[in-house]
Amino acid sequence: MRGSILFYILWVLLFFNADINAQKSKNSSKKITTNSVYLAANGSNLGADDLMDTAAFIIARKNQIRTLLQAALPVKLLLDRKDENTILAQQIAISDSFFTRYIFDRTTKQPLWNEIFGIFPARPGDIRKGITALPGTLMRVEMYNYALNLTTIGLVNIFTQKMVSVDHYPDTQPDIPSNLVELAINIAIQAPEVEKALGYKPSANMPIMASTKTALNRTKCERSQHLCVAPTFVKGDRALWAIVDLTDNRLVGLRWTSTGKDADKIVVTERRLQNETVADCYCEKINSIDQKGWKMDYIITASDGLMIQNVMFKNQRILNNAKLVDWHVSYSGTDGFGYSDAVGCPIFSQAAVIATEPPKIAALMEGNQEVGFMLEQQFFSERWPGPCNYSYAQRYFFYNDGRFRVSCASIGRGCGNNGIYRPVFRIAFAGNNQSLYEWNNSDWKLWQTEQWQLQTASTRYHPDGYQYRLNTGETAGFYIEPGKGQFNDGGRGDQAFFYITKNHLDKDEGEADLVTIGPCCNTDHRQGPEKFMEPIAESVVNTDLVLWYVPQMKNDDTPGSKYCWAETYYENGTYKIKTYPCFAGPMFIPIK
Amino acid sequence: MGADQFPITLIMKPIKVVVLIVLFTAFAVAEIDLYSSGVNITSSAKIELGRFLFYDTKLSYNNTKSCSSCHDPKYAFSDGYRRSSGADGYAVRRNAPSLINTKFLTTYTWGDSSIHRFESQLIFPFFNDAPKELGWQKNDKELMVRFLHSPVYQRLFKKAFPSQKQPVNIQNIFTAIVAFENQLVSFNAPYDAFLNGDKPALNEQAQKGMSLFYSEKLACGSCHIWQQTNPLKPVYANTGLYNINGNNTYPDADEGLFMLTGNIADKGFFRVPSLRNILLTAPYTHDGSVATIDELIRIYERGGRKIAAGVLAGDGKYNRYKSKLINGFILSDEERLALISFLDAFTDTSFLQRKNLLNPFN
Repeated sequence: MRGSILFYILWVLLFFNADINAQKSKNSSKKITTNSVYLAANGSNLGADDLMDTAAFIIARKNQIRTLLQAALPVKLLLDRKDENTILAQQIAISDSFFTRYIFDRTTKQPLWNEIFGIFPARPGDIRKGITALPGTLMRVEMYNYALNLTTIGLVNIFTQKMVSVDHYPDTQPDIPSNLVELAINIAIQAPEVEKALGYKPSANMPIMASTKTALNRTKCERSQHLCVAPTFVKGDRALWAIVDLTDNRLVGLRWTSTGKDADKIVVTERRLQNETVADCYCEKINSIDQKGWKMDYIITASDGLMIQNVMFKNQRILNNAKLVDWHVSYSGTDGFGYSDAVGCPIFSQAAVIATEPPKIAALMEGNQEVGFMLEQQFFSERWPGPCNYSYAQRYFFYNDGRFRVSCASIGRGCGNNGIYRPVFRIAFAGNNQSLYEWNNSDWKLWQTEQWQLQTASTRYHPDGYQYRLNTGETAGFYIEPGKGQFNDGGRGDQAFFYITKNHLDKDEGEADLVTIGPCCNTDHRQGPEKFMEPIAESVVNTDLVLWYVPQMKNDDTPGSKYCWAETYYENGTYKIKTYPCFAGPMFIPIK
Repeated sequence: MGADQFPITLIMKPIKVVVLIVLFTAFAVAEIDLYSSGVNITSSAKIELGRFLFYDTKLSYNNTKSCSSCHDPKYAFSDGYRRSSGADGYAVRRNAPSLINTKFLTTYTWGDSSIHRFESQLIFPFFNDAPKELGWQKNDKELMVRFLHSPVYQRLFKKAFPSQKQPVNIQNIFTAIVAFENQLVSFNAPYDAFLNGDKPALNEQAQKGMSLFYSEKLACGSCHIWQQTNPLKPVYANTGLYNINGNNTYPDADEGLFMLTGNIADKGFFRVPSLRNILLTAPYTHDGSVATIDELIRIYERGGRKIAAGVLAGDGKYNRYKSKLINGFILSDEERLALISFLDAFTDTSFLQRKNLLNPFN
């Protein structure tokens, strides 16, 4: 009891002064209005849409939105490119009742704010089976509905002036147009909080990653419910994330990440010069491979990486296609911020990580023996391997004995040394008589309905290392062996989320180029594919299936165990790049 | 919460140092038992205030971090990272430990056996300056104003400390957070059920793993003593994680208990952590340098970790100060899986169902 009194007295004495000062501050600071025009990160301001906006560009944008909502069609057109075809494509799209199905609230009929984000010539990856048109006449129109967080993608024929197809994707976001990127940068650099955190007023050319979508817990950006991006400022060995909500047009939070202490000198490359060649030869045009018994087509998509399609082995069709839909890069499981990245073509894409070199084909050797071949594509952001720049690789392996592997890697360096990468693979097998089985310690257990599973430390594998078996016919099929660090590519195990969904021929669930389907930073199975299981899980027995595979790779900048990392080093008077890729992806082994 | 930065990183004005030393001493030497004395920290109002504070980024100088940033319920109140970042973006020195059942600990942090009270430990994340975990040093007045200005907190403080005229102060912040953290208990793991007589709570594989765990060959149970409600004497050990250049050293001059005691036999000694929810709390060890449970078990199988190349190269197996209990053993793949299955039986996520322990802002 005596100690208790002593303890209490000490506390009172020690903090009396501080509390008095604090109380004084409380009284004096009543005169001060909030020192932030934009910041709304901490709960109290959430939903407060009427914060005083003083910046002219914000006022102008809000006025523009108000005016737009009074128009007959509340759709802001994309008018930054003046060519006739893009204007015509938009007019065709917004004249179509199914394309504009959600621009008014379905119940109250109130106008909702919609904006055309992109109009592109349709590439082969955008055109579904059965669609025919004269060359160069199809345009892809992407519209974003801010209120519903919904993307609508239409394919229009500007020759016949008709809508060819329309798909609505709830809880997804398309690539952001350049005017919104500029807006986000403007919001970030004008925010007093950013200036205070950096210690200087930044200029518009300082932030990077301003076009890449992000999230932040406890704000409307949480799980990408609003359209949010993060102009990021690199300062020394840290990066300041200015998280901007483009739905509410304000800064919602700031976060620091440590980018590691490795050198970040820029190594000059000629990648930029090659962009046009890559676009012409591999984005607009389908290429083919025919070797070692394997035949397939491949193309670099706009935002789903290198896609292989119509894959056959010894004249048996194996895959409809396989591709890499998203890269989810999380820097905080708790705060939920990071990037929803995409990889794709250098032209027409706002994605920061693009193909700047053609795909490569290389022989697979085991000792002196050629056992197959590999198809590889690399993607870079311009200033990689500097902090907050990214590089990714995709590798498809095809073996002479019919095995194949779908894999990818982050090659660093990214925006922090506490990052987790979650790439989203979509793999569609051929045929409509497929069933999936899981190894259940002693036998194979059939999956009855759409579902997902996480590979963990206690996952049980078949004695040969398989986790799943996909039957594609009476006797045919593949065992599926996830990465466990066994593929001699430096991979440390996939810890993958595995999903199976039914493939629908009457609606698009990712066959065409997909917009960003998942938020950056969910730590659970909600990486995007679960959307295709909702609202009711369908039967997956003896039907047409799609496999989704989302491995999880944690980066590391610790000397001796670097992983998903890149750095520059000095050698013979120049700077060179050293990489520590983290490969992940499953192997498919034919059932014999 | 993150800690262990204090001894080498605290740089502040002399007066502040004096204040903190006295504060620290007050916590450390006070003879009171906070749980049974008149300081009624278990009252629900204090707990509720503590819950708000625990999850509120207002607690950090730049509104970016709260306690839960490094102690997230979904990772059993750890954070899944090798080393957490402070509010200023810089990494703290050590891995964030789980807060589950820490109320039963008799010392806190990975390598400081002198901290006996939660309140004493809280000083580190609040006042550390390099990195600034929460950044209270030099910002304490401004931070207090945030709470004074908040109608929600005015109400919560008043309710928690009804007899005080000015209840919004740091003492009460600490008291409330500790009251909340004392609620983070777990006794619903399958292994708890097994010990309480529910034998089927452990399947056959887990029981095989249990036999291995307590076997003479593995001797895991010699250090990892299953924590029931009684306070345990902490165990510290050098597990042979490092032996840089064969010099028996650990990286970053972080030699654990040795830094406190100066006793050379304590080099590389760190707390043997609780295994509760171990499968939720990767990465492992004091610096989070072991990514998976499989990797961790293989290090023990080998009798220490060998780092082949780089600045940390060396064979921990031959670290002179390594525990004599860690001599290596051989496990088949089946046995390793059985052991992991047993460790999985320490998983208890029942706290996730207790809404009064979760984020009030969600």
